[in-house]
Amino acid sequence: MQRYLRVYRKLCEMSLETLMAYRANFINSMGSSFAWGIFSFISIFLLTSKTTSVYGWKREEIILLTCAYSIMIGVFHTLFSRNFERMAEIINFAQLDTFLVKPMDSQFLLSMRWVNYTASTRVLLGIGFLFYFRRIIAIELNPLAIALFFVLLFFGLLLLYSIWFIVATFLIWSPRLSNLIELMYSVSGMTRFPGEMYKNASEYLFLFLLPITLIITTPIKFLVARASLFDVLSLLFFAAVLFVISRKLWKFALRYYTSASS
Amino acid sequence: MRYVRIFLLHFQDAFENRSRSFVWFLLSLLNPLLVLLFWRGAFAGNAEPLEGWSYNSITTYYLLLVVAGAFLQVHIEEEVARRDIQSGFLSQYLTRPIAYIVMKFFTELPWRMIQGFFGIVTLVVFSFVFTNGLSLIYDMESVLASFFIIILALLISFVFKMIVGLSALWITEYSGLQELIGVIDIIFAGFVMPLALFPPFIKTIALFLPFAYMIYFPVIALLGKLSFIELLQTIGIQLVWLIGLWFIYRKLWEIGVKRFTGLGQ
Repeated sequence: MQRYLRVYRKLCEMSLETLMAYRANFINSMGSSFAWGIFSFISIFLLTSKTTSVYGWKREEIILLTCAYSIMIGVFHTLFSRNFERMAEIINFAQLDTFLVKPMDSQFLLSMRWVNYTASTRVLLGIGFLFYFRRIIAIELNPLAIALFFVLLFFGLLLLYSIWFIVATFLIWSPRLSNLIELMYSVSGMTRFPGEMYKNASEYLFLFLLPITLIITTPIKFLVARASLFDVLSLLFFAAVLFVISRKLWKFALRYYTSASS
Repeated sequence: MRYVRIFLLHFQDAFENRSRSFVWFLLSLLNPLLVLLFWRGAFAGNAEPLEGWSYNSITTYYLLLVVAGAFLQVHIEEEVARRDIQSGFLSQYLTRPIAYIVMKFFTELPWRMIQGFFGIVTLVVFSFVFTNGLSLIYDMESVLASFFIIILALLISFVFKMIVGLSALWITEYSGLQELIGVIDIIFAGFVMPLALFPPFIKTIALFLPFAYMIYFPVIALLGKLSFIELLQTIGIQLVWLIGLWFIYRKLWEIGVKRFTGLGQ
C-alpha cells in the first residue's frame, strides 16, 4: 500500500511538472474545463427557467444537483478521465505491454498514470455555485451532514470509475471502438438529472440505468433529507459490486490482449 | 466522375468503420433524449403549451435534433488540425490537382450520411412509439424550401469547421478553442432547448451567430414553425453566412498554407 502511495505521489509530481512545462496547454485546458463547467450550469438554468418543478424536484434542488455534479465530475476528470482517453490509445496501438511488465497492478497504472489538474476548475466552480446558492437552496448544513455527504460522493465516484473501467475494458476485444470513451462523457452527463426522470420513462430503463442514477442523486437526496436507507445502501452496494466486477473483468480481458511486438 | 470515385472510396472507408460511426451516432442521440425526458417531467403537471410549444412539438423537435446532430454536425476540424496540419499529412493534399476543401468534403460526407441514416431509422422507430404522431410539415413548397435549408446548413457547418481546423496553423494547442466552440455550438444551435424559448437577450445573440443556421433552423423548418416567407428569409441568411465563411476560409488558407511546414512526407 505504501509503495503504491509513493508511486502515486511521484506520478502526481510528474503530471504537475508536465503541466508547468507546457503553459499554453495549461491555459487551453483551464479554458476548456471552465467552459464545460459553465455550460452545465447555463444549460440547467435555461431548462429550469421554464418550469419550477420536474419529477418532484424543485428548481433549487436541481441546481444543487448540478453543483454536486460539477464537483464530482471535476474530481473524476482530474484523477481519471485523461487516463481512460489514453487507455483507448494504448490498447489500440498495442502499447499495453509497457504497463503489464511493470511490477505494479496494471489497473492502477492505467487509470491513475496522469493527473489533469486543470479539470479541478470544475470542482471550484461547483463549490463556488454551491456557496452562492446555499441561501436560496436553504439547506441546513452541519459538519456531520457534510462529512456523510462527501462519503456518499466518494462512493458515487467509485461507482462512476467502475462503470468507466468496465466499458474501457471492452476495448481489449474491440480496439477500434476507442470512441466509446467519448460516449462515456455523455453517459456521465446522465448523472446530473434526477433519477426519477428515468424511472418515469420506463421501469426497464430505470433498472438498467439504476447504478448511474444513484451516483449524484443519492448524495444530494441525503443532503436535502430525502434519501431513503434503500438509496444509500443501493449506492454502497453497486459501488462495491461494480468495482469488484471491473477488476475481475480486467484480469479476464488481459488473457485476450495481443501485443504487436512492442 | 473523379469526384464520384473519391466519394465512393471514402464511403467504403466510412462503411468499414460503421461500428465507430454508430458509437458517434449514440453521442448525438443521448443528449437530446435526456433533455426530452426532462421536458416530459416539465409538461407532466401542465398540459398547456409553453409559448406555442406543445409536448408533441417539443418531442418532434428533439427527435429531429437527433437526426440533425448526426447529419449536419460536421467533425472534420479534428482531422484537419491534428492529422493534416500538426502531423504534416497536409503535404500530400498540396500536391494533388484537387482542392483540399473538396477532398475533405468527400471525406466527411460519407460519415454524415451513415450517421444520418442511423438518425432517420431512430426517428422512424420513435414515430411508432409516439402514437400522437410527429408534427412535421407536409406541403410540397415547405418541404422543398426545407431541403435547401438542410443542404445549406451542412455546407455552413462544413466550411465553419474547416476554418476551426485551419486555426491549428497558428495555434499549437488548438483543443482549447475546439472545446470552447463546442460549448458555444451546443448552446446556440438549440441543443439545450429551442431558441424560441430562450431569454430574449440570449436569443438575439444566437440569431447573430452561424450555429442556429446549422442545426436549429433546419429542425424548425421541418417542424413547420416557419412560414414560407420565413423559410425564404432563412435561406437568404444562410447564403450570406456561407459566402462570408467561404471568403474567410479562402483568406485563411492563402495566408496559412504559407506557414505550413511538412517534414519527410
